[in-house]
Amino acid sequence: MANTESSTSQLTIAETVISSRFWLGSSDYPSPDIMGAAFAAANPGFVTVSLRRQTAGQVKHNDYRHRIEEWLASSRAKLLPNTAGATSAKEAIHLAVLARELFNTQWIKLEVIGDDYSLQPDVFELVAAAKELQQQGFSVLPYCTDDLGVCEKLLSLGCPAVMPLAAPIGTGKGLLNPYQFQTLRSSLKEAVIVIDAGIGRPSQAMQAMELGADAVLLNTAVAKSNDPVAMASAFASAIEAGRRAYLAGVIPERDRAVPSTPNAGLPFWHQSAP
Amino acid sequence: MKLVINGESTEVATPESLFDLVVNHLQYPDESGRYIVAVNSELVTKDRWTDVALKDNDLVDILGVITGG
Repeated sequence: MANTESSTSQLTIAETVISSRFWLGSSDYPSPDIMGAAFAAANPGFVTVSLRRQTAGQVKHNDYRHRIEEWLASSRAKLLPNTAGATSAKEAIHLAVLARELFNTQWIKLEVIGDDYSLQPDVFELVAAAKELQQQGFSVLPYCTDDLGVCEKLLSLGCPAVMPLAAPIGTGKGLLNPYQFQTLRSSLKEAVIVIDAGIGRPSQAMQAMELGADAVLLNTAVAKSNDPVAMASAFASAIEAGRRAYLAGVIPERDRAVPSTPNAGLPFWHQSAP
Repeated sequence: MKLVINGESTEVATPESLFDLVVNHLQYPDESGRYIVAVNSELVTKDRWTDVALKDNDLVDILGVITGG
């Protein structure tokens, strides 16, 4: 997918070329083999991962880790560890520091959950964590709300992208507030904006890309589908098509019908009755 | 001695070092990159494991890779 775009539309974040605008989570697949096949079908720019306490046995027999490492070695994808589960800036910073050591990367998907039911971010703790982690040399990609002020603040702290949610995590509702997303896109013309969370179907990802999202990050919609490999391929096509449509320039909506075939030249055009 | 290992209070024979605890007592593989260790919520990089002595009630967290979204 990435190779079909011209170099002028290449996605670059923190001076790093990202090979694809489709970013994919590694969670909830039926098996490591199916996860690996879904990665091959998606060809994602980033693969998200996380870290948790593990026993010696879990460390020794970690088939998912093994398959993720195999995929990374054979592709241009990058690892994007997350701070999932953090509910304060302190917890998120702790997880990020541990993740940098475990995954040997400065990239971090910064999540600070503010509400257990909706899984919406706590933007105040998020901003505090982003400030500290940027100062520590991380490339912070924050999972945030679509609030313009919050996104501007995160960008002003040095975050190389913002990742507003389309809808609550795992709901599959798609872009709930396209008007607000268009406000973000038009206000933050130079910013990298990644739609993260809430995408359920390829048409929703395509809509976000048509409206100017720079990339889409999703997990559940692929992993929990009946056929994750086929669904990964469908999303890859949709995201590429949406990007192409955005670059081509989508026509503005109108309230009145306008004929696409001209009336001028009809054999009865402006003809007086005999 | 008593340590809190991965959130569980555990009695162990006093280890010589963090390395001794993790690799010899707990049988984690002696390899880099597969897991990391924090003591009292501070990361301890592997090159320091043999230098770190543990004391009663220290919190030892050993974290590995999981899938994530």
